Amino acid sequence: MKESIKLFLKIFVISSIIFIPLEFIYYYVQDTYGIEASYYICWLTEDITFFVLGTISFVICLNFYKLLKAKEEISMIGFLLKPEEMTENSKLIYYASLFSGIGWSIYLIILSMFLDVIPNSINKRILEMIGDIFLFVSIFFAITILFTFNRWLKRLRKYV
Amino acid sequence: MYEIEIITQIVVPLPVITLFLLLSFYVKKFLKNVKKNEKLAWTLIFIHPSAHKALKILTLTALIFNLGWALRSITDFFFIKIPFLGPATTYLVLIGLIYFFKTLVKITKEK
Repeated sequence: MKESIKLFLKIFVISSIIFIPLEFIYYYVQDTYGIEASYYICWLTEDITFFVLGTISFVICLNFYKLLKAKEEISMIGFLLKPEEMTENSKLIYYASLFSGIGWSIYLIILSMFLDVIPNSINKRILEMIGDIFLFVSIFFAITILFTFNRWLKRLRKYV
Repeated sequence: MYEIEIITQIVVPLPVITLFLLLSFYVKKFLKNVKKNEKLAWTLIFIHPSAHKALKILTLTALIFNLGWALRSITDFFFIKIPFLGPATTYLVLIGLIYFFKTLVKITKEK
């Protein structure tokens, strides 16, 4: 239980470390160079972040899949020898999915609440802040997948 | 154009929320089964052929998910919009995770 919460917090901190500079750059550019420039910067920084995260996770998953395919008879032993670790990983996925589900629900609820305000652009920052929840939860889920598969890959490599 | 954007913003998260909640439900169920008899549960998972198949499917969906997000960034950067590439791959990996844990629930429920 403690291990999975520790891992959850670790992923939360990593997500925040990625998320805060992205937000800081976005609002700084918006205040200094205007909204058009901030959209461009937001596009650039977010795309680079997701490209890096996606590529790293892709390489990890590809290696994991190759190992799984090549060593069919031994691959499940990797999990069996450390069942407590697999239980912790399952707990992590449970907390992460619950957190992401709640995050997306909050995003949708707030968006629905401000639907009548957004078209008039009374407060554009509200829309941006709602989008921030979506961004943070997406980064969090991507890192959870990365972390889980990285741990599985490491464990499998040990026993193959 | 604005209406389409708003509709997309509301329609896309709905399946994601459902899938996330469904996933947490199956993981919780699996953890409950494991808690009853941890050793037996893991032995059953080890010997069951469908566990390996489910893990393979999960890895494949994770591969597509990561490739999708990496590709989305490249296409976005060159101003080519592929709508729903990101959300579609997210649905896929969530379905893969649900299938994996559903299989584990089934295996551990057998005995």
